[in-house]
Amino acid sequence: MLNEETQQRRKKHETDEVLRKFDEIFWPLRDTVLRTARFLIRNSADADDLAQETMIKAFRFMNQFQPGTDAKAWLLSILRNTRIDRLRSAAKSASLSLDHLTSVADQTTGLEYEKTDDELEKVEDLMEQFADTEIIEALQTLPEEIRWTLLLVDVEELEFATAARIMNIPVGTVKSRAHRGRTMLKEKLVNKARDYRLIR
Amino acid sequence: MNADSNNFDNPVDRVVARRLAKLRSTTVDTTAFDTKLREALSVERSPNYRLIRWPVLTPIRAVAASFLVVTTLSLVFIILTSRPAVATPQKLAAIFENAVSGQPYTTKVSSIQEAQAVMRRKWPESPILPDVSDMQLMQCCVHQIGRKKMACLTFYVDQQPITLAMASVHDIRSPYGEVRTVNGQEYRIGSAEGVNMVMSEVDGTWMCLMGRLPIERLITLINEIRQ
Repeated sequence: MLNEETQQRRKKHETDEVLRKFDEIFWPLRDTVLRTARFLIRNSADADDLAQETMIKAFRFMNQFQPGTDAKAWLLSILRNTRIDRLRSAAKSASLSLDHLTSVADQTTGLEYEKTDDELEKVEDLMEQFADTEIIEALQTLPEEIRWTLLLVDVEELEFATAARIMNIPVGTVKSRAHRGRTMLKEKLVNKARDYRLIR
Repeated sequence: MNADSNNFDNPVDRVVARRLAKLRSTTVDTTAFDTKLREALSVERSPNYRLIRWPVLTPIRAVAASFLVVTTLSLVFIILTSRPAVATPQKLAAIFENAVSGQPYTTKVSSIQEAQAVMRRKWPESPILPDVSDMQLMQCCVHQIGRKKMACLTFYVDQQPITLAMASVHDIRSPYGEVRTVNGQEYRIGSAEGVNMVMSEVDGTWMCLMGRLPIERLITLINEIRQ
């Protein structure tokens, strides 16, 4: 009986300790997870759900996290894996292949160009004219893998190597996807600006 | 970090990256999310929840689980197939009807030697048929209860078709029911669909005599066959 009580007390202490560590390391990063999920997915309920599942998994598998390593990268890895799992089960039920996501992401856009300083200023002005929500909407129309790359590399400003680890792809692929993604995003915004008659 | 410190090959890249980096300062309202997450975490912390939560299926666990399932199913299959099948009166009555109706799988025989030869060809491990040469033989066949075989020999007694079924006691066993003892020998008796049956075990062989004759007559006959 006494032994049982001691065991329960020990278990409670262990759980409290895990929660304390979670609050200290991962809780402050929940807004990063939530933001990335919301930028990634258009449906905010789905995004919140994905973010919550990510945080719960982080809590469950906290013992696998090595103290002193990049907690944000670890959380974003979980977020990405959870997203992939969800896409896989959705693809399975809809008999779709996930391969097309990657293949679209790795297709060349053929939008190579050189800009003069004057034109560059115009692009910069254009980017600033759009509200954050419009940029996010444009971002959400890009292929999944391109979106991930831009979110990790440009929005969260992770090193290419860290983003490559999270996405489990070579650094070179991250770099090319980042370039391709920025070009695609710029093109989307230019088209939008034309629709709004901001430019001709 | 990237927008300023990375070397951008393309100036447009730098401009777009810089704009995207600004999105990070977007305020994310976490109030509702925090409440839901805290609730979910408190459930996660509950010791009872941990007990009922399904374990995460890693590839190694999946292989182990598959192995366990296959082993369990194999064991169940071995146990079930190694146990003798129960010859219920209903099953035996159906076998009797088939045996006497001259189905294509039955073979007409005129002597016990011929019957033995047919049985050996159809089922080499079949029990040795008793000498019933004084009876008028009709036909023989092999029947199955589940996966267990039994040899059936049909002949006429008192102008009535009678079927003698025989199998190893490891394959077929009599159902629980009424027992009659004649001359110190126990006979289990049964009846279904108007067919009477008397069952007995001799030297590791299960035998059953069935037909529309009275039970007492069947007991007398099986007693004669046993000797």
